[in-house]
Amino acid sequence: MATAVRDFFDLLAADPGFRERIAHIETIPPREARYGDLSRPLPEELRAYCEGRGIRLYTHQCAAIERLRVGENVIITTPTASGKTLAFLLPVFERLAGDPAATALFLYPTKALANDQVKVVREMEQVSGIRVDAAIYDGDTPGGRRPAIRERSRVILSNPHELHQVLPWHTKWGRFFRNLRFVVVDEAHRYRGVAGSHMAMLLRRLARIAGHYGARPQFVLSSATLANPDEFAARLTGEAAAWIGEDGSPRGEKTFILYNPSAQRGVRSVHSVTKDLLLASVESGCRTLCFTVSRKLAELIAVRSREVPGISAYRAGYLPKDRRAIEDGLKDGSLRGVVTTNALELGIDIGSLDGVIISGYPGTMISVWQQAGRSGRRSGESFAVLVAFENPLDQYFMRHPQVFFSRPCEHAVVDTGNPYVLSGHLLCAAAELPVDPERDGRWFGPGLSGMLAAFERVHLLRKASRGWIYAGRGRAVDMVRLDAVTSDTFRVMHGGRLLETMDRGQAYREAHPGAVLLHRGETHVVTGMDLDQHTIRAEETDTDTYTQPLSTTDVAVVQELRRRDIGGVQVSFGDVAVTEEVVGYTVRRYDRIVSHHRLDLPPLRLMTKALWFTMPDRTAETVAAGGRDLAGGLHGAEHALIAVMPYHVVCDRRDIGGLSTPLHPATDAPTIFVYDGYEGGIGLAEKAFALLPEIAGMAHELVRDCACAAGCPACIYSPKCGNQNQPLDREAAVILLEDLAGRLSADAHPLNP
Amino acid sequence: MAHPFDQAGRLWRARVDRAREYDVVGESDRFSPDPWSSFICRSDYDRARRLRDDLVAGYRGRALEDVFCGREVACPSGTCYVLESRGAMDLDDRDPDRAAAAILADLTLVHGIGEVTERRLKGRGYRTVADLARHPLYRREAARLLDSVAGGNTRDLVEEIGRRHRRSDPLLLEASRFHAPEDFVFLDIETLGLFSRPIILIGLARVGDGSITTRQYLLRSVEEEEAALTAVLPDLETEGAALVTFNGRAFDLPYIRERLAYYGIPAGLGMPHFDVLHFARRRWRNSFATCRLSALETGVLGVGRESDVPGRMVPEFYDAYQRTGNPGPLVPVVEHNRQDLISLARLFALLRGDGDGGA
Repeated sequence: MATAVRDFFDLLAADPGFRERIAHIETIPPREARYGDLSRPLPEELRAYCEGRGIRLYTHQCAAIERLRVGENVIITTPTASGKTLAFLLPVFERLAGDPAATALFLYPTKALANDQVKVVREMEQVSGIRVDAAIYDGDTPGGRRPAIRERSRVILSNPHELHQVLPWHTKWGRFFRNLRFVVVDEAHRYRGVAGSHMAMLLRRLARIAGHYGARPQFVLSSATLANPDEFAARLTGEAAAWIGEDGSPRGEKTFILYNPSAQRGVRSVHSVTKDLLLASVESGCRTLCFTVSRKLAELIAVRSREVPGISAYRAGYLPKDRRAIEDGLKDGSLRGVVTTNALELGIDIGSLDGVIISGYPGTMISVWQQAGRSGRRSGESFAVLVAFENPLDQYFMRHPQVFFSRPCEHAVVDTGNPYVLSGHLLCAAAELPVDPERDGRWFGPGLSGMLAAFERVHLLRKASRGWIYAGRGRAVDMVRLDAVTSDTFRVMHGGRLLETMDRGQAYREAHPGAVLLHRGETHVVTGMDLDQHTIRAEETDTDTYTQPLSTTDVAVVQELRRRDIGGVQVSFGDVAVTEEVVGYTVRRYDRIVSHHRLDLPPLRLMTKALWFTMPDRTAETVAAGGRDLAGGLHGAEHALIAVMPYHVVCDRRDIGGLSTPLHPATDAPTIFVYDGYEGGIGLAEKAFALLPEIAGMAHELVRDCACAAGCPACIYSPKCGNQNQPLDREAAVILLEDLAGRLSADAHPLNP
Repeated sequence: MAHPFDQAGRLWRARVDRAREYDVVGESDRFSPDPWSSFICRSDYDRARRLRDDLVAGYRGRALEDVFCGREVACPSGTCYVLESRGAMDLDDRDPDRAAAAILADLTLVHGIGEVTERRLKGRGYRTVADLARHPLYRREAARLLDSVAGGNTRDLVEEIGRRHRRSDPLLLEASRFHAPEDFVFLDIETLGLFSRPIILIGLARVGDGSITTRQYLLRSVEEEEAALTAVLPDLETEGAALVTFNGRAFDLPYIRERLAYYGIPAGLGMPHFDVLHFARRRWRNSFATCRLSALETGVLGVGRESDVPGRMVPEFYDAYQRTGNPGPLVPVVEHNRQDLISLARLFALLRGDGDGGA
């Protein structure tokens, strides 16, 4: 194994095509195991299980067991492959062995992961002889098997979507909820941002129902490494949790390479370069996983790698049996390379790998370490390569490797006050059991009585003797979808076949009439769009062109909620209305514009939260005096700020939007807006409002240090700009950002409470 | 904007308004025999919508109590409103001997005896279950059944017969003869949807002395649901009571159980239950396109309904009342439920063969 990794390094060193693109090599040294002791031994059956497998418990596993034994909640954040599953399985089984009625619920983000993990749970059940009748209960569970699982199983593996559907049926789950002792949330870091808000409310609904049956389960969160495990666990579960973060498992040496395709002039795209690396790794004999940022790229790179056998794509959307075949292929060695989306970032068992190639910064350090952790297990050498895209953030990391490697994992933002998410789940809760403002205040927060009153005004809740009851005629859980705040979806049809579904915004931008649509390696062109029926018609076509929408965006301030004056810069936070109009699109061939077209679509309106700030007159004058373009500078500064935001706030670049204008009616001054891309807001702009000095400082460094002359994809060009990156003025952006960063850092007083 | 949550409230309201748990289909698609089919045919749908609008116009400004002449019932959990009506109706009197004879003639009710064994046993002189009390192998099981029959324990008998045969077995109807007409509680509920939403009307009917009395607990507001549930519980929990429903095994009874649990009201609801849908299907499956109650009513009882509301559309009729306070849309809902109760009782009598001088 080690020789294959060595061979790969030798290949990189020998070939200048590879060598010259290497921006940095970081060696992460190996680490010895640290074993722990338990205050009292595990039951005989579990000791036999461990001994039979040659398992000796690491320090963090012992810590988790002890904490759970004394009734605490825990959040375990040790890295991939450190034995997190065992750390909670052992204490859960210990309790279930001692209390023959006790039950536990394990929640996984995907059905695929539950299918993988049920094998581990069943194995422990069989070997230990502790009977728990472990079973999966999800959308694939046949109706005939459901009653028996509800009545008998003591460990049930499910997912949040299923739990959302199950809670209204709680009377059928009386036995399970009455005895519920543990709720395990695996891959808990997945539940941040909007997904986190939903999960937090779902877990509160679950705890409320369990409380109704007299149970108070302990929560176990298994998560990737995070900056704020305590806060995150408290937000997600509503209760304090003990943090288990110190990893006692051993590690082999890992070499982490930062690889920059744009370090060399040439026409090769990042995807071609990624493919070259993957082939080199596989041909060196390394079992390799390649992560891409989109499904489309996973398919594309796998297709281009066909020249070498044993390479496959893997992503959500594949049939379960196909996915399992790929997982098994990786495990048994019949597959040597797999190109995947973050679907394989989850803890599905695929054996140990020699190397991981990450094509494009995945948006968070959490993901970087999750993905890099997929290679190299307990011993032996392994590698990880980050292939940089030509976007500002990836390029920044290539130029500042020390920042990259010293960078802490992100804060996981969970906003438990999002009015849309909160009220939606309140509606569901009221359909499950009457809501009593006093008793249930702890689940729904201080806004509860206001929400109840608002729902009464629209006749969805009514006050009855035992509390507020649901009075709507639709099923409450059907109104609230967990994966997005809005459920305004469009269906893309090809003939009578459903190609895919997308939300309204995505439909307007990517599937407007005339748009070229990629789906499973096939090209389609949109021939019709029915806005009333939410249907899009597409036809297969053979074209080498693609389309890009042109849109205009306006931001109107609805209500300013907070304002700070930092060194003369007015920074505000509040409610805004963002109106986007897709006015047309361009048809392109190899990045060259072939034609322009106009579109007539109604505007998209988003009510959300934003931070905005104005530039002092004097700064604007400086820009003008230097003969620079103020609008171009503001626009460039806005792009740079948004580009570095994922560094400070857990989000994808797509989660945030921006707008800059030399004169905004609300402020009467040059203004930059940064807003959450979700109805109601999800706490991103709010966090950025608090961290603006740091964000501005980094944005300034990014643009200042860029080697380009007049702006490039590495600094102020945005890959998602609705205005074709025009106007942009790099010098003006540097002046504005320098001034902003200087003022903000000079006046770094504590934040408003 | 009055309140920060009003906007969210309006979002959910709009979403609830868009929610529909049925599809409107053309005439030619009228095929589903399922009484809870999610299809409504286009002409019925259009007619019902017109009806609702006409009712809203016709009853504007009138109070519910003014339109529905009922009385208020006080329960510990609040008040509810009940409407009563009476009509002519007869059921055969209790006939335990006939019931016992029919049941005991069926040896296959004894655990372990199939049709082949039954033939063999009858050939050897075991004519009834009573005879089996002497049989070395089936003695114990036969004794259990004999006990149930002797005690007129229809609850166990119904379960046993339903388990050994089908829930549509005519023997179940014979078993109902252990009961006097006064024992039967005919039940039909109207709700805001298929589950996990309030019941808006609980209809009960009792027969006795040549008449049928319906009691309909109409919720003036959904907050009266708990009181209405509490008010009907004594009927359902009385010693000797037997439940008669149309599809109540799948719908009405689990729904009531779920709502009782929602309010934390303990209830056993273990009474014997005769679900007429099963008997009706067995008897008329090949005679009618659908075995919905309304279809059987027309085809078997020769009753026609005017200004009816399709069951699936009851929620939106009630919602119209709930949001406007105009009782008009409730008029056909109450009448629909009352008619269902009466037809249910008449079908039950017809299926039993009552009045044929069978006694």
